[in-house]
Amino acid sequence: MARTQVDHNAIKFGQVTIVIVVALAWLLARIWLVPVLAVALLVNAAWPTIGPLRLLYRYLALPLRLVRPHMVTDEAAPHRFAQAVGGALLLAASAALYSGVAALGWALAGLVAVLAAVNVLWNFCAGCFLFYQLRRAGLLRGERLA
Amino acid sequence: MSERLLVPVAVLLLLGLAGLWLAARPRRLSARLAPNGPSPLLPPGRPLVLAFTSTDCVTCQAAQRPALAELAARVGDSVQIREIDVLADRETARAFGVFSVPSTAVLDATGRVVALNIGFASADRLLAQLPARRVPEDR
Repeated sequence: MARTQVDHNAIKFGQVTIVIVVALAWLLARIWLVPVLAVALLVNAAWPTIGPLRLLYRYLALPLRLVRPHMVTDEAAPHRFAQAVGGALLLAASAALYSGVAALGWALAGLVAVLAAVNVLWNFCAGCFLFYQLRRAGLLRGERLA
Repeated sequence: MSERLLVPVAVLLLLGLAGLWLAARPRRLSARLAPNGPSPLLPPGRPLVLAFTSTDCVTCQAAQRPALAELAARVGDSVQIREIDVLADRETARAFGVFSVPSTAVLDATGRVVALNIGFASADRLLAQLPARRVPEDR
């Protein structure tokens, strides 16, 4: 299990972005924003250093001093897993939206936005929670701390 | 678009209600624990900080534990600080409604829950949540 310095404000910036983009997609009826956000989250999860949300944070939010880094010794894997789950749910939402099942699509996108808001407001990361439960059940690899 | 605004407004309202519900948790928890008498975890006459952790929680061990050590150094013996492994002591974790680690609960000297934190809580935050007490000297 790799301990590393994780910038928690970068994670929160990503979550705020998710809430804003999903809200805009809903309010302006721009469903193309949903798959764009899905891809952004999946790229962020797979290649964090070149993830669009991370690049926005690094080259926009930080230089504009919208937010400052908040480095915490943590494990990056649960956060990446959470982003991958969010991305997968948004992909499913996109499929539903483009195949005419709008209610399901918006419900899934809304769920991702609400869970992101819960993490920003109350520090509860549902994706990380799922990650730990799966790892305890032996469905995900990863050594336990002594 | 105006009717589309209703959904975000409803979600915001629900989040607000959830916030109120969470803010009232310490009071509800105190009422629920009270019929069983003072918690057996409670040291006589001293506030208690319970830190809920687990063996596979990196933040608990890399961030929360040092914060607890810092708090202990600042408050001395006037406050007891105890770690609870949620997997080893499920009953206590359930009693406090812990669903995520790290979480911390602050109890006053009578066993009343005065604060619950989900996620990492710094030494400063915990210190601010502790009921007024005589601290020997902040070091």
